[in-house]
Amino acid sequence: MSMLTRLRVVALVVMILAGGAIVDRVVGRAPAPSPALPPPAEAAVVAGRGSQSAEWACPGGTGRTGLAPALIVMTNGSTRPVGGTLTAVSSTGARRTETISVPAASQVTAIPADMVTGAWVAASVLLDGGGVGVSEEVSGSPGWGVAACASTAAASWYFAGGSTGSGRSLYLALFNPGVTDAVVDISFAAPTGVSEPPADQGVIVNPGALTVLNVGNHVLNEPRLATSVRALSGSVVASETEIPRPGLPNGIGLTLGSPLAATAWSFPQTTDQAGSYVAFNIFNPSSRPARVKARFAIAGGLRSTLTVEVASGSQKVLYTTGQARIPPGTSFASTFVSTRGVGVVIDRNVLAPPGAPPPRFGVTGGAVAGARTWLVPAVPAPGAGPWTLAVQDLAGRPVQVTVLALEDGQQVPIGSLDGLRVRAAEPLIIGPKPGPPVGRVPLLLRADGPVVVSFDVLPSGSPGVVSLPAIPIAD
Amino acid sequence: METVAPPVVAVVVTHDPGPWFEESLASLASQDYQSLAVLVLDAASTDDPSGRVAAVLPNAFVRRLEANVGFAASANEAISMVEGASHLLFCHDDVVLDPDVVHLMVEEAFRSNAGIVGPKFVRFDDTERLLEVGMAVDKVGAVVSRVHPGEIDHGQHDGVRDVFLVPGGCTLVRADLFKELGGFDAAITALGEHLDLCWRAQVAGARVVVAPQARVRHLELIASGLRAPPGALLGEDGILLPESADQAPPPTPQALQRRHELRAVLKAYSAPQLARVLPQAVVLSVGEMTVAALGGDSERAASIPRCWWWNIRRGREIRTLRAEIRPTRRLSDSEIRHMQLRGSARLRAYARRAVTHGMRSAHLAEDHLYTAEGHDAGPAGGRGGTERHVGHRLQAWVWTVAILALLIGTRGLIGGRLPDFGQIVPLPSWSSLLGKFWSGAQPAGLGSVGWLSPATGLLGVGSMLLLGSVGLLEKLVVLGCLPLGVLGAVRLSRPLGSARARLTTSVAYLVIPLPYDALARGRLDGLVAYAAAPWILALLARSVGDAPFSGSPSRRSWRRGLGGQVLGLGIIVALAVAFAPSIAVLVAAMGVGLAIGSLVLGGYRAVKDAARVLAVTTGGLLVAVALLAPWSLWLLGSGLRWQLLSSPMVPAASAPTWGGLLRLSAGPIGDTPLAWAFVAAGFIVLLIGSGWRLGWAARMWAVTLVVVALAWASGRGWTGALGMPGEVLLAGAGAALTLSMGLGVVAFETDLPGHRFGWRQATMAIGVAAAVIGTLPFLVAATGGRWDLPDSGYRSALSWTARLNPGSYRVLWLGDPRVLPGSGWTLSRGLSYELSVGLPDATSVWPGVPPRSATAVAADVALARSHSTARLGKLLAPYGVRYVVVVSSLAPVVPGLQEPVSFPPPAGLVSALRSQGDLRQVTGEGGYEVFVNPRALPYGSPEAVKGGLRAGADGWRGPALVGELVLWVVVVAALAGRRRWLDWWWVPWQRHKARRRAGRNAGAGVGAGGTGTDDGSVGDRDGELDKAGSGTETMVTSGTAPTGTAPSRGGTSPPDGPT
Repeated sequence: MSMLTRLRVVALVVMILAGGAIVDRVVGRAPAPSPALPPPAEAAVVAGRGSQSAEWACPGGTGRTGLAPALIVMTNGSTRPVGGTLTAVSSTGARRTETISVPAASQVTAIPADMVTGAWVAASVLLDGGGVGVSEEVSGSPGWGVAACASTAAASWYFAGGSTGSGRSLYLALFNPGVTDAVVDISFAAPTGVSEPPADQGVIVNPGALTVLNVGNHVLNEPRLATSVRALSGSVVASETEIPRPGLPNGIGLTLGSPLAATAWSFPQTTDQAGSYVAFNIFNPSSRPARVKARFAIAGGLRSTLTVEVASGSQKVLYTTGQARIPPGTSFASTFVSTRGVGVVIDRNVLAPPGAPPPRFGVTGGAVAGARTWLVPAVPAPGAGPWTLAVQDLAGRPVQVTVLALEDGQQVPIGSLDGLRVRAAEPLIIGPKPGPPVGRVPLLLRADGPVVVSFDVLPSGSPGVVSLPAIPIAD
Repeated sequence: METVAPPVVAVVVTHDPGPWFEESLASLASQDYQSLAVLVLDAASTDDPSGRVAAVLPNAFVRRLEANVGFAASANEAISMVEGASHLLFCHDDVVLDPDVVHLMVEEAFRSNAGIVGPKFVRFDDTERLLEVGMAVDKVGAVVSRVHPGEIDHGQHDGVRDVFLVPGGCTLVRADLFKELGGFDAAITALGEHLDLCWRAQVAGARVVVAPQARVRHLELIASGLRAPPGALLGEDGILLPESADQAPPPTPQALQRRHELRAVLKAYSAPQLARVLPQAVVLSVGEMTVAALGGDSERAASIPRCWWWNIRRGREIRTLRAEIRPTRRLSDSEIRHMQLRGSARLRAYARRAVTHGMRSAHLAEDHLYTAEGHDAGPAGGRGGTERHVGHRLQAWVWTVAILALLIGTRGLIGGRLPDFGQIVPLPSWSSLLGKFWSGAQPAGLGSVGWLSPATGLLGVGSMLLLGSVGLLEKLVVLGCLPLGVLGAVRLSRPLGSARARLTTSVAYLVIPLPYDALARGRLDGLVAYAAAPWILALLARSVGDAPFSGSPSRRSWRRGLGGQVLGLGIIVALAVAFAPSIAVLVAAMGVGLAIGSLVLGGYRAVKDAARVLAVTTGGLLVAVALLAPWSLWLLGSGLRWQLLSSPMVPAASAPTWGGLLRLSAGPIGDTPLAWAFVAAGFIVLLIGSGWRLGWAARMWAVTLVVVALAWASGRGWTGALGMPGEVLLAGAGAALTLSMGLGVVAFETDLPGHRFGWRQATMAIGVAAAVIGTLPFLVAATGGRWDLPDSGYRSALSWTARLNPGSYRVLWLGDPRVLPGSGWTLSRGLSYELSVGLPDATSVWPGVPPRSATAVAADVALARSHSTARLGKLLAPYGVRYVVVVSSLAPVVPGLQEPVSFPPPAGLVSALRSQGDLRQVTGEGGYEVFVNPRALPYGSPEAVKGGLRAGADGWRGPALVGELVLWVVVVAALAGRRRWLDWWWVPWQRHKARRRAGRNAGAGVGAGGTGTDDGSVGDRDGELDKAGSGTETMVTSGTAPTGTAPSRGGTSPPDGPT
C-alpha cells in the first residue's frame, strides 16, 4: 500500500478522533432531564384536570371549643363536579369520614371540628379528580387567619417565622395523612442559637394521626423563631398557628410550612402603611451561608434592592418599613433570590398600624414558582371588606391575564378583568375593589406566562395582614 | 540335496500406477531371492497396466479386477489364486525394494518363527529419512509410529524386534496364516488393513516382527493424499470428492484410519476386554471431538462421530467377524495388552505437541500426514504467510501468567453462588425453563403468552444436562463468556500467521477491562457480546475476501464461500442474539465499519469488498432471524421492537464521553487513564504497517470508530428509541482494537526489517510499553478476587418479602435501568420498570414485549410521578402489586462492607411515592425503598387483572418450535458436512473439473511401455488373469508350501524352509 494510502488512513483516523473529542466537549452532556412534571415546589398545588385523584391535608385548626377552629374551604375551579371524602382527625385519635361533593366552578366549606371532638382537629380531603383547591381559615377571639392546605406530605417542612415571646403562643401541628409511620425531629433557630429539644426528637406520628406541639413549652420567649421539621421515616404535613394572648394585636398567624428551601421567593403585593410593621423572615436551614438579594418593584418601574447575609441554620429579618425608595402606602412586589444556590425559606409578618381594624397581625408565606393558572378561593371572612388581587409577572416579558369568576357552576369572565397586561417584574394590583359579591366569589386567573398571585382580604383595611396566596393549578 | 528356497509370491495391487511403477516392478525383478513369483492385481485401472508389467516382468501374472475395491479386498484374491506358496509378499505399487529385501524378510520369518514380517521403510526420494520401522498401537487402536517424522536413519532402529503391527507397503505374510485368518478385512478399503491383519495374527498367536535390514522405499500415495482412497476422486487442492453426486462425501485419510482402527478394536478384543475398552474409547473420542471443535478443527470434530457411526452400521458384520476370530484365538487379551502402549497414545502425543510446539502444531500434526501438500505441509492454504516461530517457553509463560491472573481475579466467584444483581439473576429449575419456553408463558409483566427467547430453552436444556445444577449453569454461562471470548480472539488472529501476533491479540483481549466491567455491573449482555464479538469479526473479516482472512474459497466446498459464511455468521449471531438481542445492532455496525474501511482504502476491489461484507452481514442477520423464529418474528412485529433490540435508556446526564468510550470504559475497572494505553498500542500499526497489515488495520479502526460513534450518539439519545448499551457495542471495538495490536506485531516482524533503525522502531517500542501498561488495570482489579462484584444481591436484602408472603406476590420495580434486576421496560429516559412474581429470576432478563396491562401499570406510575393521583396503591391493587421497590444501587448497601455503585432514580420519584396516601413505606435503606400496598389483591385471585392471552397461539406453537429445531439441525448439518441435498450443484462441478484434470494427466503418463507383450497377449478388462504369455487363472508356484497349523509362539520348530 502506498504512502498516500497510509496518510489518508492516518489523517482520517486522527480527524475523527479529534473531531469526536471536540463535538463531545461542545455538545457536552445533556442537562439533567426534568421529569414530565416537576415535583411541586409549592406545598399546595391544585391537581390538573386529568388527575385521577388528589389529596389535601389541613392540619392546623383547634377543636370547637378552642381558640382557632378551622373552616375547610374547597374550591372547584373546573367545569365538572368533583366528589370525595373528608376525614376529620382529632389530636385524641377520634376519626370520622364524610362524603363530599364540590360542584363545578363553586366552593363548599366544612368544619371538621363539628365532626370530631378534640383539642386540635385536622382534616384530610380525598378527591376523585383534579381542579379542586383546599384551604383553611381559622378564626376565633384572637383573630383569624387563612392558609392553603397541603396537597402533598413531605419529609421536611420549614417555617421562617414564629414567636413564643411577648405573650404569643406558637403551636406546631404535625399531621400524617398516609399509611406509613412517621418519625420526625424538630429543631428551632432563634437569635440565641439552634435548639433541638430532646422532647421534640423522634416524635412519632402514626398513620392518620395528628400531633400538636406547643413550641413555647420547649423554646421560651423567643421573639423570632424559625422551625425545621425533618421526618426520619414517612412523611407528614406541618403547619404553625401563632395565637396572641388577649391584649395583643388581634390576628392568628396560620402558616403552612414549606417542604423545601428554595432559591427564589415572590410576594406579589406588600404595602407599607404609615405606622405599620412589615418584616420578611429569612431562614437559612442549610449548612452553607446564604446571600439573599431582595428586589422590590412597584408599578411604574421603580425598584429597590437590598442584600441580606444569612448564616447557616439561622434566621434574619428584613424590615421594609421606612425604606427610602419605597413610598409609603404604595404596594410593591417583592422578589428574593438566594445566590450561590443556597435554599432559604421566607415568609412575611405584617402588623397593621395601631387603630387599624382587626385583625392587625398576619403571617403570609411566599410563592416559590410561577404558574399560568391560579385558583383564588373566596374567603368567607368575618366582616366584608374590599379586596385586592395582585399579580406578579415572573415570565421576564409582559404577560396577559384574565380573571374569571367561578359562579353558579360557570367560569364567568369579568369584563374589566379580561386581558389585563402585566409588565415584567412589576406587580399588577387590581383593587382595592368593593366587597361582595366579587370578594366572596372564588376566582380563576389565567395568564399566558408564569405569574404569582395573591389575594388580599381587607376587613382590616390593612393590606397584607390577611393575604391569601392563591393556589397554582398544575398544567 | 538341493536346498530350495520356499516359494514366495509377491502380490502387487495396483490402481492407475504412476510413472514410478516401472521402478517398483524392476525392484521385484532384481530381487536376489530365487523362488519369487509376481502377481499383479490391477484394481480397475483406467489403462491396462499389463504392457507395463510385461515390459519389466515378462513372467509376472496380471489379473485385472472389475472394480477398485481397495487394497485389502484386491489382495485377498491371492487366497484363491495362489497355491503352494510358503509366503505372500503384499506390495503396494509405489514401493521400491532393495535387491535383498525378499530374502532378508523370508530369512527373518523363519528365524523368528514370525507369521508377519515387515521391512524398514524409508522415503522414496531420500533413503536416509525413515518412514516406519514397525508401529505400535494403544488399547483403543490408535496407531503410533516408532519413528519421528523426518528422522535420519543412523541405524538406531536396525534391530529385529517384535512389533504390534507393520505398516502396509511391503508385508511378508505366511501363506497358511493368511489363509487361516481369511486374508485382509475386505471392508477396509485403505489405511488400517494391516493393523487389522496384524492384530488378528497376534490373537492367533503369530509373531509380527520387523526386519530393518530389509529396506524399502515407499511413496505412501494414499497416506500423503496423492492418491484418493477407493470410491473417491482427488479434486483440486486435495479435495476428496465422491465419484457421483449421490454418494456421500468420501472420508479423508485421517477419518479412514480412525474408523478402521475402531473396527479392529471392535473385532479383535474379547467381549470382556471390549466392555472395558469401549467406554474408554468413547470418552477419548468425545474429548478429542470437543477439543477439535473448540480448536476450530471442524473436520476432525466431524469425522470422529462419523467413524463411530460407520462401525455401528456394520455391527452385524462385525459380530460375524468376531465369531470367525474366536476359533483362532490363542493369546489372551491380557497378553495382547502387554504388547500395546499404555494409556492413550493419541492424547499423549497431542499433549506433547501442544506443550512443545503450541496448539496450532498440535492440531497440525495429524493433518500433517494426510494433506495433499505432503509431509512438509505448513499452515493450510489461504492463511497468509508462514508461521513465525515464537519461543514456546515465552508463550507458555505468558499464557500461564494470564490465566493465573484470571483465576486469581475470579477466585472469589468460583465457589459459592454468584450474587444476584443487574442481569445476573438466578435461574429457575430446568423444568420451569423448558416448560415456559414450550408454553410461551412469560411471567414478566402481568404474565402473558407469547414467544420466549430461545435462550430460555437453551438454558433449560443446559440445566437438564447438568442434572439440574442451576448454580453451576449460571456460573458457566456468566464466567464461561471470558474464555469463550479469548478463544474467539485466538481464532480471529490465526490468519495473521504469526504466533506472536496471535499471542498479543489473545492476551490483550483477555485483559481489556470490558468483560470485567460488565461483570461488575451485572451486564450479561455485555459478557455475551464480549464472547461473541471476535467470532463475528472473524467471519465478517473472511467475507471481505482479502488476504490473509480470505482463505481459499474452494478449499473444501461451498461452505468456505459466501454461502457458508452467511450460514456460519447466522448461527453465531443467532446464538448471541438469543441471549442479548442488542448484539444484532453490533453485528450491523461491525459490518458497516468493515465496509467503510474497505472503501477508505480504495482500489478497484474496494466497492466489491464492501458490498460483499455488507451482503454477508445482511444475510447473516436474516439467517439469524430465521433461526430464532418465531420469537424473532414476533418481536419484530411488535410495536416496541426497537426497545427490545436496544436497552432501556439511561439518563442522558450519565452518558459516556467520547474519551471514555474510546478507552473501552464501561465500568469501574476501565475507568482509568491507563486504559488509553491499548488505544495507543492499536494505533501503532497505522504508522509502521504496510500492505495487508495496514489495510486490515484501517478496517479495524473503521470498525472501532463506527461502534464508538454509535455508542456515543446512543448515549445522548440521538438514536431515538434505539438506545444501545455501551457494553455491547464496545465489545466490537475491543475485538477490533486488539486485532490492530496483533497487526502491529506482524508489521514489526514483516515491515520493519526493511527499514533502518529510526522512528519506526521507537514507535514500536512505545506500542509495546503501552500494551504492557494497558494490562495494569486488569492486574490491579484481579487482586480483589471478585472483579468488583458485590458479595450479596437483592435477594439477601428483600428475601423477607417472601417470608411475609407465603404465596406468590407481585413486585413492581422502579429505577434506573442499570440497577434493576433483570431487564425492564422504559418508562421514561432514565427510569425503567419491571414486574415480577416474587423476586425476579433469569426469565426477567428477556422480558419480551410488555403486555398491555403492564403498560397500564406504567401509566399509573406516571400519574403518581406527575402528582395526578394520591392513591397509587388503589390503582395498582387490581394487578396484585404488593410491593413497589425503588432501586437506587446495583446491590444492597451495607455500610463498611459493601458500597456498590449507585444510580439514583429520577428526582421526585420517591417523594411522589411517599406522598401516596395508601402506600406504606417499610424500608428506605440499603439502596432499596420498599413500599407496601395494603390494598393489593392476592396474586392469582379472580378479581386480579391477568396478562393478555393471545387466542389461537397454542395450536401451532408445537409445530413452530419443532420447525425451528429442524431448521437449526439442517443449518448446522449443512455446515458440518451432511449436505447431500445441498451439494447437488457443487459436487458435479468439482467432479467434472477433477475428471478433466485426471484425463489430462492420464494422457501424459502411462502407455509409453506399449500395450503388448513378448508373446503378444494383452491384459483385458474382463477380470481374467493374464500373464504375459499365460492364460491360466490360478497361479501355481514351483515350491512346496509349508503345511501344518500355524506355529504357536515361542517353542515349536519352524516349518520346513530354506536353510
